[in-house]
Amino acid sequence: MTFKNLLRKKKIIIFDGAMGTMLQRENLPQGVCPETYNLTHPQIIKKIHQAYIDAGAQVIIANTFGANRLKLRGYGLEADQEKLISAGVRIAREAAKGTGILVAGDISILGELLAPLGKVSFSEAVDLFAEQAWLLKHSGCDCLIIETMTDLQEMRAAIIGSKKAGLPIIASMTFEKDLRTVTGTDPVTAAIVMQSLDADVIGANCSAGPQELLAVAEKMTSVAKVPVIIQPNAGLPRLENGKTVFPLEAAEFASFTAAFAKLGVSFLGGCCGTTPEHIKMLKAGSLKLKVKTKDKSDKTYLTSRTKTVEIGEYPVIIGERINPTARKALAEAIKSGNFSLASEEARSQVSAGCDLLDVNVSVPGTNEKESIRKLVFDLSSQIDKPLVLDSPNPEVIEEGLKQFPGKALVNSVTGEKAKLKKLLPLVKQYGAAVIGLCIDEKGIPKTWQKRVEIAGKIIKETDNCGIPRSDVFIDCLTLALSAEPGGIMDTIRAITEIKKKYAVKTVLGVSNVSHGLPNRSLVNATFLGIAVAAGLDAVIMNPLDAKMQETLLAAAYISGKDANGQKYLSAFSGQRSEDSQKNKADTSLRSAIIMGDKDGILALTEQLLAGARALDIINLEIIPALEEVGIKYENREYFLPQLMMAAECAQVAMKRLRQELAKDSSAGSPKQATIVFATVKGDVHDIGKNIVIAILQNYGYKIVDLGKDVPQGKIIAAVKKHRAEVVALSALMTTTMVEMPAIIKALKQAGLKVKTVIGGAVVTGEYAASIGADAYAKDAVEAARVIKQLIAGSS
Amino acid sequence: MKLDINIREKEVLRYLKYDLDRTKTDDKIIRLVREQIKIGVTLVYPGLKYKILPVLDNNGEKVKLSALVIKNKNIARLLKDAEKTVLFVTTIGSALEKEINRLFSAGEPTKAVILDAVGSEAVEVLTDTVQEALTQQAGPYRPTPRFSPGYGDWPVNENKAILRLLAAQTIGVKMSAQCMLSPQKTVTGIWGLVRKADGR
Repeated sequence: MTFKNLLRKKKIIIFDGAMGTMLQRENLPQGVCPETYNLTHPQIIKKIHQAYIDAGAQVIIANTFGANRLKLRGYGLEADQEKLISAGVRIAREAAKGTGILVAGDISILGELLAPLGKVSFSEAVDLFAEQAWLLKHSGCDCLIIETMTDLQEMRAAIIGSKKAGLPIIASMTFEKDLRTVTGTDPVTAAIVMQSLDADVIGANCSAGPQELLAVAEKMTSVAKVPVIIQPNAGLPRLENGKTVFPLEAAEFASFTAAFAKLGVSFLGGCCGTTPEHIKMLKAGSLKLKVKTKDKSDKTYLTSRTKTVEIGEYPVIIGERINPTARKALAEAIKSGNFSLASEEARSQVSAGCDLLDVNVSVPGTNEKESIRKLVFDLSSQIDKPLVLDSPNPEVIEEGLKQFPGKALVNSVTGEKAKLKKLLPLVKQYGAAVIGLCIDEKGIPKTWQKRVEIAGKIIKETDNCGIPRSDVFIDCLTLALSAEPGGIMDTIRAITEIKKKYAVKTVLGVSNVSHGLPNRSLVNATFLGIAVAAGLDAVIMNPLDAKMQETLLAAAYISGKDANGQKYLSAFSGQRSEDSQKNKADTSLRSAIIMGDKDGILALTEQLLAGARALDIINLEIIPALEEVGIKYENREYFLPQLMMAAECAQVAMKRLRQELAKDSSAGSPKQATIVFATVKGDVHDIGKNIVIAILQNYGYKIVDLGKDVPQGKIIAAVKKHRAEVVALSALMTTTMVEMPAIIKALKQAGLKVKTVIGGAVVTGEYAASIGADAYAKDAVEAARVIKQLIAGSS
Repeated sequence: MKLDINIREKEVLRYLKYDLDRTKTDDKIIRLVREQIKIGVTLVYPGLKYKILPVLDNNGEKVKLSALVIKNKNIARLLKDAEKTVLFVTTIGSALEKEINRLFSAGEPTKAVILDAVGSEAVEVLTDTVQEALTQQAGPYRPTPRFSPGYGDWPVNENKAILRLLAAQTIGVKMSAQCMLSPQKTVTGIWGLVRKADGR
């Protein structure tokens, strides 16, 4: 009997039960490494195996659970690894001799978490598991079982390492009461990742009793393409008189057998607390049962550590914004090893509704392997979306694949032979999916026929590598409409043909279509709509682009990918009235700022600039808008975020207007008033000051922000240097407020004719008057008003 | 102790000066608030230090605890029936305030002010959770209201002694010469444990 033959059986295959708790019954002392019994008490180990064989087990598991180098090191037994393993396997083999019973080598947790949660690196873990698997194979095991795993990333390392030995692999994880592993993975995600890594059998063990594992089995079998194994404990353990007791008797334990068979579970065994009696009952109960066979699922799934995304009917959005190409700030941040901007991009795209997140760290002159490692660490702890690893460099892709605790999508391979040979084995090894571009050594072909042909070449190679069609995405490539006026529909046709011919998924970045054209977003959105109708499964786009999102919703509904328009209707229900309201509202810059409508600002500013001077636009549109918002805020008709959103809108317009002002200033227009801002020495709470600045920077003033904890001398120097009209000081506490009179006194002594305004939680109008400040403002809106008056008075 | 930070949207809105009767807003801005709540939670790194100190003497003017003497009538009244007190410092760490600063300098004051409100709510909820859990853990007691230096007439410089007693530097909480706490979203204070009448 071989393991492969076992897999073909339509009956339930019975594994053995617990070893650890059986050894405790045989008085294994606390703190002793259980594997040492292979050498010191081989007769006990053999007796246990024998009992399970007599009970009807068809596969027994050798006593090598903790025999990895790291765990043995904890017992000072590192040097004995080979002896312990070969003895363990030998005893099992002897017990099984002449019975046709198979021996599985046992592998489990290293006892330390993988980076970034712990210290062990992914590669070290792979090596440790590979070493144990190799020793198990050469000691004579028929297959390997990786069990009681609590962390998906460690499971990935275990499968990848163990695979190197070339034996069939059974992979089984342990779930907590909330049906997640200790590090948060759900059964569906675990199943998908394990089978993508080519485990031959997947499942769950330990955890709790059969009742609890039924729920896990139900979820796993719903996505499993390979056989499923379940090995429950004999119920949830409890302490009785200082001893751990497992409550489920053999008969009750076995009473779940039919339920498991009905779900399609084909391997059953026992974990902690089970005995040969439990296995005997399990066997008896399973004899007449047939395992439910199901259609092999060809659905496409990608996962993070904690979440699975199905790429089904409705097209998914791949967020494109973490890409430093043509994004200078992001490139600079990555170059300096700062990934917070990338994380922020990730979070904003996720909240805007992207399903997958493209991650590209290609900045020339940087260590991209290092960058991808760090960024993947950050992202996989901060967001729960699957990543799309985007690099032309296979080494960078491999590093990302190692560190990402889930099933990633690789972006991308081309039809070039050499590249396919290099990258596809990595995709397979790390259990990922892959994007293939319809481009080869000769470049992007113009006709759809040629692109289908290149897709065919790529798919032949993915087939050869054993990558399932459901894990292949073909990108038919978007050309610029301005350069290839007649060729765009070839991309669309290629999508339809490739889907029909090869049953793969398709993906497309759409924004290139509008390159060099006016009103790009219209062209992008229209093209997206057409591509969706042609069968596009995934779109690479900016999820923050509302027009694209809306087009996607409508196009999916129209082309029958949004059943009953559920998504469309839930997105837009109740909006009819809002639409008609908007149509009535006026479309001035002023009202756009008041409404906080950031998208329209720049266009409106440009329109105004066609007929007005920048300074007039500030005075007649922007400042009145901010003042109106200020009044709404004071009346509590608006709350703080609305006040800030108006300031942000104004800022968009100001950015453009400052360019014009810079041109004007050379023509001798009046000098801008200057305001120096500071939060006084000893005080670090500057949010109030920052809010005032956010508003006032739209008034056309020059703002000098000295920050927080600013010493007196620095304030005096700044007022002199910038010839400021106004100094605005903030303090939060009575202990820091006392700095203010000293500053005002020093300004007067220096003979500076500057106006002072103060504010902050504990500051009052009376206090302002008592220390000789020119004004006091209770909040940001009042500060804007007061400062405007002070400046008008000083000029 | 399980420290779940369940941010209450209503409270975040309150910090942002939202008025139930008067404020008119649109979905877009509320969505932004919800997004920032989600993001804010990921930036909370809860820290807690506490000591349970028996009340040795309370003469209505000053309260003598085993390691601290508080001269304050209001606190003496607050702790009138307390058998023990819990002296504590809670913080959500500095990651959130760093993000707020970044958002301000990146020209995104809207997100920044919302995140600030989320932070205020987070440390409040954290402190509530801690108070409930520690009180329950202490036995058959009910808690008095909390009191912090800086409230009323309890001077803010009392924080110095409290932080030292709790070795607050071990969770990264510091105080400047001007008695400012850092991280900013940090709460210090005291509450009393009053034995329940029925002993249960």
